[in-house]
Amino acid sequence: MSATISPSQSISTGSPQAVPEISAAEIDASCRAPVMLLFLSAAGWVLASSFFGIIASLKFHKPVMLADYSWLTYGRVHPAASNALVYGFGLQAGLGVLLWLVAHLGRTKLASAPLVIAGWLFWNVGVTLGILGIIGGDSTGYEMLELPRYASVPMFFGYLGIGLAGMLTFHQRRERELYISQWFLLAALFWFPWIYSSANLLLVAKPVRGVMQAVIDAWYANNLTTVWFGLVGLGAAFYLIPKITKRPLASHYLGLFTFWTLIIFGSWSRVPAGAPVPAWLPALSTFAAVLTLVPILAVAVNVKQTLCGYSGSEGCNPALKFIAFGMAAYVLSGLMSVGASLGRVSKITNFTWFVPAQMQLVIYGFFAMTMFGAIYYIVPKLTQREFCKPKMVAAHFWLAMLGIVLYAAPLAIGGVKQGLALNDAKTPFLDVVTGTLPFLRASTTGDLLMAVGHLIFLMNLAGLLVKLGHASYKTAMSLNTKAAGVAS
Amino acid sequence: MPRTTDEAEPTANRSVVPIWLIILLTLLAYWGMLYLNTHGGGFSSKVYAPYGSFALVDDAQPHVIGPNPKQGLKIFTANCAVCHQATGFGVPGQFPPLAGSEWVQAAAANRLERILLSGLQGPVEVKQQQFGAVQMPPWRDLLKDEDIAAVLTFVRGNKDWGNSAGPVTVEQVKAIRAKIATHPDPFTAEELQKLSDDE
Amino acid sequence: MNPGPLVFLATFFALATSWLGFVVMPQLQIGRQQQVEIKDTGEMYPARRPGLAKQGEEVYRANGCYYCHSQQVRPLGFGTDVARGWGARPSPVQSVAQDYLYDQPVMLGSQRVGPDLTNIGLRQTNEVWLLSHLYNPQLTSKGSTMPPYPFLFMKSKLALGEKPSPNAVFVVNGPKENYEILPTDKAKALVAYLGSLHSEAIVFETPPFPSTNAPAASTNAPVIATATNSVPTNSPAK
Ligand code: HEC
Ligand code: HEC
Repeated sequence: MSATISPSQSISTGSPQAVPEISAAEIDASCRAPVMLLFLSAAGWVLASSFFGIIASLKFHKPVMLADYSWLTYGRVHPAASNALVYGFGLQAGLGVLLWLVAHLGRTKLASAPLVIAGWLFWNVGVTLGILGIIGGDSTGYEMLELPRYASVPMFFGYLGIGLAGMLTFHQRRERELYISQWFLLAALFWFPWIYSSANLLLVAKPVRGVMQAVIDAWYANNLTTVWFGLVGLGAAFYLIPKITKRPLASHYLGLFTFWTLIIFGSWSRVPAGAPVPAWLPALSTFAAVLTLVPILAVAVNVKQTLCGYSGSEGCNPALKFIAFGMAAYVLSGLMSVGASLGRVSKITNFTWFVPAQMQLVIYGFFAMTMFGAIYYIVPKLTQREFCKPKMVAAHFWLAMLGIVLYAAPLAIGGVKQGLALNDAKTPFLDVVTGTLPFLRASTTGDLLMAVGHLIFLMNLAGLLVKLGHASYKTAMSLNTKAAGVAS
Repeated sequence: MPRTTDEAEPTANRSVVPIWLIILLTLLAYWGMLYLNTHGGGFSSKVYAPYGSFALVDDAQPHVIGPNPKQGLKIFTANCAVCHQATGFGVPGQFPPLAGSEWVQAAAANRLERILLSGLQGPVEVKQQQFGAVQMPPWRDLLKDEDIAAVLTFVRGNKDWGNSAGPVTVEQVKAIRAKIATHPDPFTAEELQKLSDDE
Repeated sequence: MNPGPLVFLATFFALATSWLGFVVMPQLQIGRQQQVEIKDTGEMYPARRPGLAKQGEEVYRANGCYYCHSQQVRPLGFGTDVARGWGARPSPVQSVAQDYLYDQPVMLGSQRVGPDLTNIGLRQTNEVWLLSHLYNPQLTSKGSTMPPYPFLFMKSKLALGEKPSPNAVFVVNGPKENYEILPTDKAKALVAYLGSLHSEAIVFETPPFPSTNAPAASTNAPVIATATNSVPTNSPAK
């Protein structure tokens, strides 16, 4: 860019007249309102998602439950839950963490907070309209892209606002050299608008014809979950793990290697074998899916080597626990997805509960858990307060962890069992269905635990805010009284 | 190194990418190419699993006889109905009937195909009636093999006319066309009757 | 060096590759398909959905039936889709892109909580069964986990001695209550949509299994070349 900006060395020389220093506290202050707003609404949406998810899950205990209301039918609450999780929680939490990281890594204040707040508003109006739309029967019919047009348009512009602020912040950074996380976060910033506009234009605004719709939907869904979530989650983890443990990340180059292999092979598609499309599409998908084994292993090696022999006092740091779990889930879900892309396995697992189990392990086990960790790390800095009840943070961790394990494990095992039964043509279909019920019902426990966790999460955040509000009220009051004292 | 912020931002070591990861990447890419080769269907839009290549799908195509009856009807109406009439009953004394004709319904279609390709002249008996006043024109230059197969399939299998003989394939027409290259003139009924079924 | 543009270029390059390969290229290949003429019948395939079925497609979409039901039959050798009777093509290839030409939106589904519905229009032609099943799956399939859809039906009181309407899917003639359950327009449309779901036509992509029987004499039957003109049964009149 412009040559007037001094290279990074000049920053470390710390000559005061060259670049005035910006303290971490100042950066945090610039992020406070917009990032807190993103986090709070994310926490609200993840709770809403639990609410819908539990209703959907209960239908497998008793199909007639709440059957009289069209807006509570399974085919509506189920997508409402997944969309609230992905767009309400995932994107917002991800963007909040991303902005904070980009500002800190660039040693610069967040650029144009009002743009972020406007974007936040648009985004939440969009998601709210969209979820109501799904409940009202307006879903587009494309999995992962169900939010109707009147939701996706404001959401897109909301994203542009937030994304632009992220770009500006990156642009005005004072530390010119890039830390590995910045590669991931910057790529994520570009990625979403492209895939989201592409998918919405080709599926909703001016739909392509026939099975191409499913092809594009699969491409979009994969780019969102594998690439966007992957980039933001890994970007956050590669920052926070070294930061919390106060050790350097094991390898910068391995991080770059992960970056390249992830964006190149992760971004292809996930068309399952046997789909009604020309054979090369599933074949190329399998090729790409198998190659993602490489970035997954690279992440595993990098994280393991960074943490190797670590037993610092921060070991019980709740944020680190969330993130470490997230990394484990990343590797596990990645291995599951590689396995399920192989023809022989796909024959069994495709169309079964194994698929949503793997998906939830990515979206929740990896991404949401990493975001929880990041939020628990960031929020005390933003508010300059510690959580009132650290035990409640730990409680959230245990609930979320047990929740996702109790959700995904039964579904994955039940899914394999279901697939084997389906592939035995002699087993009547209804027997296959009833065979999965114990697993489905077990997974409801997971849903319930996660829901309680989300409630605690929201309370933890709200508690800090109340504390903050209370304190600023007090300072205001004391200032007042002082002022009054002076006056009197 | 002095820091501009209160707290040190994380750093990363510069250790190299483990060699086994790069080897793994290469091996997987190689495997992927082999996989695409066998499962990719040559990137053709017409190849679906479980087929592996366009040639296999093409080979598996059924030899559909007389592209379709609709096509046969179209050709019949456009070319034959003037003389043989849409009803297939022909015109007594001039144009012989196709409905119920033993020439049309013969199990072996080789004579019929010759009539169509090269035409027919001279006396001929159809359904115990004599014809021969007019000549049946040759179609070899006007209709393609597919069209001839289609119209003959239509005529032979036309239930409305009481016909129920099997279809005629493009290959059969092609073969006869090759055989009669040396016989440009219209056939006579006598000539045709001398032929055996597989000639 | 400023690495910002490099990251941008990396992203652009990777995403553009994926977009060209998985959006543009398939769109050029199968995105512009047209109806094709079926050789056996001369009909154009696939047929457009008639109006009522088209409305039913909306009901199917709005109520998310596709979260439990797939609409894609996997080819021979991929699971037991064919053995379970979900496929209708006498071919090793089952569902192909051509089948979905007029679906809007295309709802392939990714789960099989319930059976595949690609050919439900051939498999279950009894409308009363379909309606009763929608009203309450337990009436037809005891132990089903499919949710009932009572909101697609209306309850209508029966006066004493009044005959239930022939459309009624369910009638209660108790001492206390007399009513019948009638399908709403939405339910009727949905059933029309289910009836329109079938893809058995043979197209180029789905070559049929070689047949060993002699072709049927009727011009409407699929005709296959293996056994024509082989054994002459009668010769032309002399
Ligand atoms: C110009 C009038 C004319 C047209 C057009 C014509 N035919 Fe003929 N066709 C005849 C005549 C005349 C004969 C009898 C020839 C003879 O007597 O030697 C005949 C004989 C035949 C015969 C053998 C006798 C029988 O009735 O079984 C067949 C089969 C036949 N035509 C089929 C066709 C078909 C199929 C077409 C359309 C492609 C066609 N013809 C078009 C005039 C015509
Ligand atoms: C929660 C999952 C679920 C949802 C949602 C669902 N179904 Fe089902 N469906 C099933 C199951 C399980 C069966 C198999 C047992 C049975 O026949 O009820 C089934 C069976 C069927 C059958 C009979 C299939 C056959 O082969 O006999 C039809 C038709 C059907 N469903 C239509 C629908 C329609 C239309 C909708 C949307 C209004 C719908 N289903 C929504 C689970 C579901």
